[in-house]
Amino acid sequence: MTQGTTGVPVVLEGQPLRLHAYNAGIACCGVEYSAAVDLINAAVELVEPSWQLAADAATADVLVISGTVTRALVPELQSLRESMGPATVVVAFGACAATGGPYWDSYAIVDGADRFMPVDVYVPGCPPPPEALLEGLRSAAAVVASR
Amino acid sequence: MTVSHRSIALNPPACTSCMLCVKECPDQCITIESHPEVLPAGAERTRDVTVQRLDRFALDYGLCLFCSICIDVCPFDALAWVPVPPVPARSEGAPGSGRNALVYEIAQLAEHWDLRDT
Repeated sequence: MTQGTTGVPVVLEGQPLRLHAYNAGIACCGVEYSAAVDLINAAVELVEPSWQLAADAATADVLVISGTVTRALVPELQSLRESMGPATVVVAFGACAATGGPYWDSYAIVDGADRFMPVDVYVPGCPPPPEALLEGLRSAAAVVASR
Repeated sequence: MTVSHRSIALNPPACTSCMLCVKECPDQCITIESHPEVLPAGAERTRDVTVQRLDRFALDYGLCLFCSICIDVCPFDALAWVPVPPVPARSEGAPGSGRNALVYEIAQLAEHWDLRDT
């Protein structure tokens, strides 16, 4: 499982909020996530050059599941989720994490991360474009702020 | 950032419930419910004609691959791309409700028809 942390500054209702997202990249959407974050940061750096990375999952506000969830990966993802705080906001990034995508009917696949952990935000797309990640993280920030 | 998804719009009166999009969708994200209606013989036609009337057209954006096959196969151009991306859904209230919110029904799918590619 590829994992990475990203600090994404987002603006919510006029208030700048630094959101730390932890990416559990388990299939192709993991790569799309990284590419999207680079693109977002390149755009965001212009207005806020001082964004920082979250050190690890323990300091992240958001867990992003990006990629197809195989049955074999479920215990790994569950222990990752349990290692994070109870208020962690979970984002299912892309069709596979949201619903199983094209593999929903496969014996080896879980048709959506919400089958084994509560998911707060569902980002559609195969893969979702960078704007969709930004929109998803804005939604996640709203959930973080409400907790 | 200019790369963006668009979404698929529906023109309900043009849909004949032929089910081609449902059958061709690679991951079955489209649901159609319809009922038969008999147009009786009369001044306009010499025999009864049975047509399907669309009751429900649902597209699950949680599953959709944005592959365009449904738009390509529709014989009546009832589906088209529109430059409005589907919005990431939040679970509010019941857990998992965000997943259901990505299932767009006729009203949502028809909303942006006027913005379609021509």
